[in-house]
Amino acid sequence: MFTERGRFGASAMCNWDLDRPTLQVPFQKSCSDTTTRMPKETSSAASATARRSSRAAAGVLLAAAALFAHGGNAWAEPPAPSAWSNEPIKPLPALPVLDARKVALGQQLFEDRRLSSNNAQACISCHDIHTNGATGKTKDVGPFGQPMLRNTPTIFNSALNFRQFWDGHLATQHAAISEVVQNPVVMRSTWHEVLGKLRSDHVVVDKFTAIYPDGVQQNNVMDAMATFMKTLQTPNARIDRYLAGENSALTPDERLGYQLFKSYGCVACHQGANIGGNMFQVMGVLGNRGLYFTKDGALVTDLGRYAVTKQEADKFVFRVPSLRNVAVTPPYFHDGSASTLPEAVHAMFEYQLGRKPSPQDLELIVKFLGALTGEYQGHPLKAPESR
Amino acid sequence: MMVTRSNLTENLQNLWSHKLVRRVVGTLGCAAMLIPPLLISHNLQQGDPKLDAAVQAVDELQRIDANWSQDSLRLSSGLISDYDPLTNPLPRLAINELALNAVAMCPECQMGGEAQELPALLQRYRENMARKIDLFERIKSQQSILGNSLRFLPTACAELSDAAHALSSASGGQVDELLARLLVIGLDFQREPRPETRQLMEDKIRRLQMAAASWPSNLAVKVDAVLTHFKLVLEQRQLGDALLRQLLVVPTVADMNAMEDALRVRQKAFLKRQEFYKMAIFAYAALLLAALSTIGWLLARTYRRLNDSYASLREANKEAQLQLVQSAKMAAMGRMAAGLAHEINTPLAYVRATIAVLKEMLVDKEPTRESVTVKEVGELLVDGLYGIDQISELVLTLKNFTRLDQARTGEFSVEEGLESSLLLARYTIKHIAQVRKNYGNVPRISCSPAQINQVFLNIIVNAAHAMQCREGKGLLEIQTSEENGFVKVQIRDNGTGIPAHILPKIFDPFFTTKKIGEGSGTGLALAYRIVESHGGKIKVDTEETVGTTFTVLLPIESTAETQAALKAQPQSA
Repeated sequence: MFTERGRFGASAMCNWDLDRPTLQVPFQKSCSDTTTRMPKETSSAASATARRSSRAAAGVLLAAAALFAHGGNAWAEPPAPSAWSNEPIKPLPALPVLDARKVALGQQLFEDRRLSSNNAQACISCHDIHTNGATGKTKDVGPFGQPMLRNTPTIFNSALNFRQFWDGHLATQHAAISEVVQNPVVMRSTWHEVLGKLRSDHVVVDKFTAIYPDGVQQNNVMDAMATFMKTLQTPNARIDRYLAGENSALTPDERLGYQLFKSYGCVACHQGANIGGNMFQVMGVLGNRGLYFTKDGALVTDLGRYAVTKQEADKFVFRVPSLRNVAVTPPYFHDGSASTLPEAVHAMFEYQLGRKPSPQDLELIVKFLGALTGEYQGHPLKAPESR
Repeated sequence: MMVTRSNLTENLQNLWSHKLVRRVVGTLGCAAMLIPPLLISHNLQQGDPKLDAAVQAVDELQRIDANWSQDSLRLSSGLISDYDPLTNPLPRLAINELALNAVAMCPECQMGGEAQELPALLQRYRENMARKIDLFERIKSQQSILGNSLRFLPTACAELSDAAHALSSASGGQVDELLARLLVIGLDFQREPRPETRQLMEDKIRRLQMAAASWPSNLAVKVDAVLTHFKLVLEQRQLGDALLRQLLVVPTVADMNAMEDALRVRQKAFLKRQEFYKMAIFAYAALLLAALSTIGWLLARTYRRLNDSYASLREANKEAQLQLVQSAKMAAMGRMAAGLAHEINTPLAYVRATIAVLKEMLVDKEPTRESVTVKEVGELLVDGLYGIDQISELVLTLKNFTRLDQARTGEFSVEEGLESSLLLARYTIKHIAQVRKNYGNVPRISCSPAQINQVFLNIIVNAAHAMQCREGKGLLEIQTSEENGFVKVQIRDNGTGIPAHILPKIFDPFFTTKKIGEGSGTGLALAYRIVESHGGKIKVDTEETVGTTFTVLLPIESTAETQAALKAQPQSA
């Protein structure tokens, strides 16, 4: 391979092709240590295409492509476990030290149906922390029988999201709690009403006054609940162990999937500790704006972040969701339109990356996504049984 | 009006005399003294921590902003793979804005510079920062898309190239050449999005599109992918460039510098005010110290005076004791003299009767007997009778002087008192001075006669002693007159006078110029005390070699006070 590539090869190019398994042999630089990490099928494809590699034009192409890619976003090194600081994905941060009384009170409030004005639903009704922190429904139905605007995202790891809700219109969990309580589709209550109900329950009042000198107050309710929600992290995902240096935490297929995940560019949006959740992105990069929303002749009902900012550029823009626990949190997307993970990955390839993965690549990526499932209170998260 | 006012002051005075009221007022006064320092320290603390926090907040905001500006460049160059470090400062931004808001909304911090300046600056900063964050978010999104397309393009080109070569060698060569050109131009455009490069690229894209029109459909799909991503690169690179340019000119740095300046101005003003308050506290402390030391000094002075008064009172008490002993002695002597006089009267009466009978028998019954002897006896008897009369007069005077027979404070004629005193002193004064009396026929006064007589006697005897040393006979003038409810008695001699250095001591007890045995030194002291206790005054005018005048003023009507004083006096007559 080296002799074949030799005349184009500039050793400086050896850094861009590692995580581009589908960018095959014509652009493959012959660094022996990296070829060993190539997926089998791409290696065979490499030998098939090698015959044509002697063309001068291809040489120019190679050089240009190499420089091109280098000018772009280059993931330089192969995953070196224990050196995860170079990885675009980071392990979950450790939980901060929290007041256990606040956590307990927050959980109680989280499960308290009095937060809805008709006492029909609690937060936990849509954010089932015993399964996946959400439900299996496309769109949940509120206590008054009205469906929610969008699919309910999981509450797990939501404290790590840089903004709350699909359109990211609120910055803090405090604000999110307040919004949910007062939203007419969700709890349809007021703080006056909620506090009144809580204050009439002396057990609750006692718990509050033990922690907060001023007792049952809006701020204290939000503080307790937000404190509890901070604990809703799902550590011990296999990806975290892998990033911490435990190479065998991922199966070989999953490791390949991770490489593909990075090389295809999924990681351009799904990165950081929460594997997403730290940026906005338009739904449907390719093609005309809103193509995704008008497929099958549907009417546009959700303009995303545009509803918040009223800027043309924000049409169909959503907060990139976290991919932690993605395997157990179907259905997918803001509208819950993708009911399986392969379906969702496929849609992402189509609308976000503008390319078609080979079925094997897609399978590997899906396998890798399965390694992102973490644990809550020592038990791995699981998908809700009924859909 | 006047009445109510005087009533008011009277009421206030009455109120003031209550111990409780005084205590309450005192406590309130002390508490009031604490108010200024409390106010000042309150003012000192207000705003200061807020201001410091705000300065720190601006500091951190500037750091975050600088990092972001740097990050935005790194981001645009595709050097950032993990966006967490870019989003992590967001909560810090909110917290720091809160700190700034606290100062902007804090009335105590509104000093130095216009009051509305900081809120306006903060508002402007917020708007600009929100814009910057918004642009930043867009760059993040844009960069992800651009990065992915750039990443994919070589692959897409290779696939297209393969497909074209598979079709025919010629079209493969054509495609390779076109793609290579496009990639080079694309690379150039990615490095620097110049309009010429864009046009060149658009041109190549058009040419590729035209070439692809004649290719079979399996190739067209690949061409489409390549074109789509080239277009995306073109579009996103331009967008990124525009966004970055917009982001870099968002004047957050200027805003934050302006806020920092405003805060510094405030901090300076605050420090100045703090300095002023410190000075005020210092001055107040000095004032308090001065007040306290004044009070201390006043207390010390009062204490010293009290001590002096106590010492002199003790001294006076000692003198009074001595005088008491003396006057008791005198009183005993007086009583003895009175008794003696009484006892003498009886034998004297019959001695006189006997001599009178003898004279009658010898001289008056037989006037014809011209015997020399009888005549001589008769003359002798007359002499004897005269002597006896003199003795009885003396005894009577003695009796009068002591006045055992009179009430202690009765109607008393000063002039009579003077007469009896002169009579008692006649023996002393007879050869020394001539007495000139000038009585003003003054009204009787209410007093203790024995004591007043003693006063007169003491002064007269003193005068006599003063005139003893002069050559020739002296002159003792005694004058009485009435003056403003007082009886004024002046006893003037033309003796040696009193030397100036002993003048202040003449009323001191036991002070005497006489030889031991001649005088006890109690005379004038006693006189002084007696006159004082009667509510009167005693005065000395003296000139050496010319003479001395003692003036005694005695009230005609004794007041209740003097009555009490007199009653308290031991019986001294």
